[in-house]
Amino acid sequence: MNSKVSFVNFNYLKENLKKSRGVIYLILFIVPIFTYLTMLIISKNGSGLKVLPNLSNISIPTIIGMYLIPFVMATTLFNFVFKRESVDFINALPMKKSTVFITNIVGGVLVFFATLLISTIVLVVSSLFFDNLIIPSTMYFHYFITFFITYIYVFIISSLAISLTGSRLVHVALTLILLFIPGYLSDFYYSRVNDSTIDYNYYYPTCDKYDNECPEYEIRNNFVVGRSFRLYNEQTLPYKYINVLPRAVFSMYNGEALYNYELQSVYNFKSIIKMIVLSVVYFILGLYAYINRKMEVAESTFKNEHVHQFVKCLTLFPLSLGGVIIAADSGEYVSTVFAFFLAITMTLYVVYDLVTRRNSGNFMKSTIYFLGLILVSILTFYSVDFVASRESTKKVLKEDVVNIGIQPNNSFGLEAYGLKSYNFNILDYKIKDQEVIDLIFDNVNKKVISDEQSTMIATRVSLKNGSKYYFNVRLVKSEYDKLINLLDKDNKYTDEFKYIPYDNIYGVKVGDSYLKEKETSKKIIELIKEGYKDKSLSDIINHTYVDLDYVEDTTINYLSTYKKGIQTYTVNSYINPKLANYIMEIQNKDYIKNIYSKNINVNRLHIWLDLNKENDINRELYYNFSRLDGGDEVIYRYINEKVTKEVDLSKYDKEDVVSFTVYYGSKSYHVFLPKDDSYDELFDLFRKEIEKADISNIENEEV
Amino acid sequence: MIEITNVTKRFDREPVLKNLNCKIEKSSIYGLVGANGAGKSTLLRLIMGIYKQEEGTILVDGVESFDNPIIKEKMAFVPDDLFFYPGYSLYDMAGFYQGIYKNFDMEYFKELCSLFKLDINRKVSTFSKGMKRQGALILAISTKAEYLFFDETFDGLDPVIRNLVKKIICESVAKNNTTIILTSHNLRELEDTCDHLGLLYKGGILFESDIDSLKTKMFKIQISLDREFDKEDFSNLEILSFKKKGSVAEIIIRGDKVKTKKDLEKLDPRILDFIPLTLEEVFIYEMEVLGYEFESILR
Repeated sequence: MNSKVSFVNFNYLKENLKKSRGVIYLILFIVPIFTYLTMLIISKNGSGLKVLPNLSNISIPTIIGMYLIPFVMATTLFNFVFKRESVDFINALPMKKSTVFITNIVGGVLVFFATLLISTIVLVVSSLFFDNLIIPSTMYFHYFITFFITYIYVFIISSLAISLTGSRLVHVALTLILLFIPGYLSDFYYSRVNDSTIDYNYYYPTCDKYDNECPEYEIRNNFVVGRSFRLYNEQTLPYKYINVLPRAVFSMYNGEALYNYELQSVYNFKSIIKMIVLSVVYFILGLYAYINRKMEVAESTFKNEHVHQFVKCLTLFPLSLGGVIIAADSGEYVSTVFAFFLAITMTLYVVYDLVTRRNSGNFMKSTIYFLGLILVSILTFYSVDFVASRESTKKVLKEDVVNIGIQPNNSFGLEAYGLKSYNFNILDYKIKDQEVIDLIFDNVNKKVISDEQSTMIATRVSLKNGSKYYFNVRLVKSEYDKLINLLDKDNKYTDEFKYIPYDNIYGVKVGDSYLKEKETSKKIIELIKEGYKDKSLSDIINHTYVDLDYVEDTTINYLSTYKKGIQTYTVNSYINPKLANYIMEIQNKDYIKNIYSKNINVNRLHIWLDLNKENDINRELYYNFSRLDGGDEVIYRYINEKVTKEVDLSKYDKEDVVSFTVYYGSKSYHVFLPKDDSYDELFDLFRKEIEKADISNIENEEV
Repeated sequence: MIEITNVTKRFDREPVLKNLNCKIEKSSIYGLVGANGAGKSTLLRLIMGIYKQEEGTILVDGVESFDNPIIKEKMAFVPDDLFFYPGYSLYDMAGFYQGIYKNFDMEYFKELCSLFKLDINRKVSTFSKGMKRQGALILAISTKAEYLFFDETFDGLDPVIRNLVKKIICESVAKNNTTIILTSHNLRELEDTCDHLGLLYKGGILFESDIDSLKTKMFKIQISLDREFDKEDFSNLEILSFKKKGSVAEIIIRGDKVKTKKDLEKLDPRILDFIPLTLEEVFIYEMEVLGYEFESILR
C-alpha cells in the first residue's frame, strides 16, 4: 500500500518520534521511576506490616502524569503547527493532512503504551521486591488499562485543541476547557439538584421524646448522596481526580490513611467507557478540524474574531458561573460579591487578550461577548436552580414503586463516605414483595423516639418512570424484626446478602494487621464459608451486625477483595465458633511471639482492656486501677500467666471472652482470655488495691 | 504545467491575491517578482497546497495540489523562512526526506553537499544563514521533484554560491525537465536564470512574458544623424522612450531588431549602436507603457 495515501505514514512516524526522542525518553522513565519511589514510600510507611495499597495510592505519579504527559506529548508531536516555517515544512511534504494527524496520534499512543507497560512492569517487580505490599494481579491490569485509556483521552483532547488554534496559550486554555468544563457543568447540575434536597437525608425521622412537637418527615426524592457519588465516579478520571489529588499526594507521602482516596475510584468501568467514547468523538472532531484547519493560523489564536471571543468566554465561564453561584448564596451581600467576581472576571478577560494576542482586542466585540458571558452564567445558574427547586417538591409515591432494594444493617445511612465499607451491592437486589414496600413506606413518616431501640436501614426505590432514589429509614425493633422476617422468606436475597467474592479475596485482616501467611488466610476463608453455610438472614444479621462506629471487637475480620476496585467485607468471627477460636488463637500467638517471648519491659507498653463487655463498676475499677503505680505491671503479669495456657475459647460465649490490647511502639496486639474465676479475682484485687491506695492517700494527707 | 485560474486568497478578510490568473509551462524557470507583501510567498504556498485559496483553482499537471500527496511527491518547496528539525544534521534531514520522498537521491545529495562544501554530519543549527539556505536547496533538489519552488532563494548567498545555485537549477531543468518558480523582489536576481517572468502587483499578475522575447523585442539604440532630427523622424518604429542629448539620441524601441536595424540604416546614421537592455530597464519601460510607475511596483 502506498504510504502517502494510507492513514499512517510510518516513515514520518519514525522520524517524528526520533526528533522528539528527548521528550520521549524523559516520559518513558519519569513515570516508572516515580512509581518505584511511590512503592518504596508505601512500603516504608507500612513499617514492616502488610499493606494493601489501593490503585490510587500506587498510581499517584501516573495520575499527576496524566495531566502533564499527554499534553507535553501532543505539544511535542504537533509542535510544528505553532510556527509558520514548520507549518510550511510539514504541509509541503507529500502527505495528506489526515495522515499527519493520525500518524501523530498513533505516535502518542505508542509512547503511552510503552510508558505504561514499563510502569506496570515496575509495579509488578517492586511489589515482589517490597514483600509487605499485597497487590492483586487484576489491579495491575486495571492500572494499565485505566491509564492507557486516560492518557490517550487527554492526548486526543490536547490534539483537538491544537487543531483549533495556532497559539500555545490558547491551546492550554482549550485543553483545560475540554477536560474540565463538561464535568464541571454536570457536577454543577447534580450537586445543585442534590443540595436542594440533601437536608432531608440528614434529618432522620427521629426526635427526642421530650420534644412537644416532633416534626413529620416525608420521603423526598433525590436522596442522591449515593447516586451522585456513583455519578461522580463515572466522571472522566482527569476531572474526578483534580479535586482530591493534592490531598492524596500530601497524605500518602506523610504516611496517612491511604484507603480513603479510593472513594474517587481510579478504576471505573463506566468512566473508562466514557473516556473511550469521548476519545473517539474528540478524535473525529480533531481530525475534521485539522483537515480544515487554515494553516496560516500559526502563531495567532484564531483567524476568526468570533471564535477567539467564544473560546475566551468558555475559558472564563467556570469562574463567571462560580461567581454567580457564590453571589447567589451569599444572602444580603449578593451585590457586593457579584461585583467582586465581576471585577475579577473582567480583569482576566482583558488579561486573556493581552496574553494571547498582545493587544486588548476589539473593544466593541469584547464588551458584547463579556455581557453575553455574564448573562449565560446567570441563566445557567437560574435554569439549574429552577430544576432543583422543582425536583425538591416531588414526592415518591408508593404506587409508583416497581421494586425496592434494602440494606438492612446500615449504621451510617447512605453517606458517600461509608458506601465502600458495606456490601452496597445488596441495595441493587430487586425486591418486589408488596409487603416489604408497604412496610418501608409505612415507616417513613413514623416518629422514632431517640432512646427506642431502632436500626437505620438504607433503601433504594426504583420507580415506574425509571428513576432511582436512595434514602434512609429508621425502624423501631418490632418493625425491623418484621422486615427481617419478610426478607428471610426470600432465599435469593439471603444468598445475595451473604455473598462474598471469595475468589477475589487478596487480603485478610485480623485485628489491626493483614495476615502474611497464605495458609492462615486460606483457613480463615474456609471457616467463614463454613460459618455462612445454611445460615438464615436473621442468623447472619444477628451474627454480623457490626456497628462500625465502635469497631472494638477485635474478632472482626476484614476481607479485602479486588474486582472492580477494593471492596472490604466485614465478618464477625462468631459466625462460626471455630473461626472465632482460630482468630483469637492467632492473635494470642502473635502476642506471645512478639511481646511475651521477648520479655518486653512493661514500661514500654500500654495496656488497655476492651471495656465494652464490662459493667459500669468494673469499668471504673479498671480505670482507677490502671492509673495506680504498678497497675499496668499487675495486668501485664495476669495476661502473661493466662495467655500461655491452652484454652478453647469457642466454648465461651462472646460476652465471656475479654480482650486486652497491648500497644508496643506503633503496633498493637490483642490478647483474648476467658472470663473465668481468675478474672473475677483480678477485679477483686483491683478493688483492694484501690482501697489501699485511698487509705494511704488519706494517711499521707494527715502526715 | 501549472494553471492558476481566478485565484483569490484572503487573510483576515483582506485579499492578498485577487482573481489571479497565470500559466506556467512545463520545464520552464518562472521568475515571480513583486514588492514585499505583493503575495509571492502566498502564491507559492497555494501552489504547494500549504494554504487553500478561497476562490479559483490551482492545477498542477491537471490536478489540485491541496491535500494531494500524489502531486506533492512531484513538488518541493524552499520557503523564505527555513525549517530544520532541532538537533538534526543535514544527513539526518536527508534521511527524513528519503523516508518521505520516494525519488530522493542520496548520492546526488552527497555530491551536491560536497560541491557546496557542506559538512553533512554537522548540526544544521550551527550553520550560517547562507549555509542553511544551501542545505535546504540541496535537499529540495535531491528529491528529484518535477516542480521546485524557491522563495527568495538567493537571499543571504554570496555571489559565488549564487552562481553555483543558478547553475544547478539550470542543470536540473535541462536534465530532469524540472519546472521551477523563483520569487524575488529583485529583478537582477532572476534576469540570468529565468525564462519567464511575472510581475505580481496588488494581488494579481500585472505583467507576464518570456524573457527572451522581452529582451529581443525591446532594445536601446544610440543614434546620431548628419542632420537635425527628432522623434518624428522615427515614426515608422514603436518608440517607448526618446531622449536626445546634443546630436545623439537614446531611443528605446519595441520591435524586430533586424528589421529596425535595416530601417535605421536607411537613414544613413553617423552613429548607430544597439545597447542591450537590462531586465529592469525592460520592465521600467513596459510599466511606463501600462501607465505604472516602476518604482512604486517593486519597492
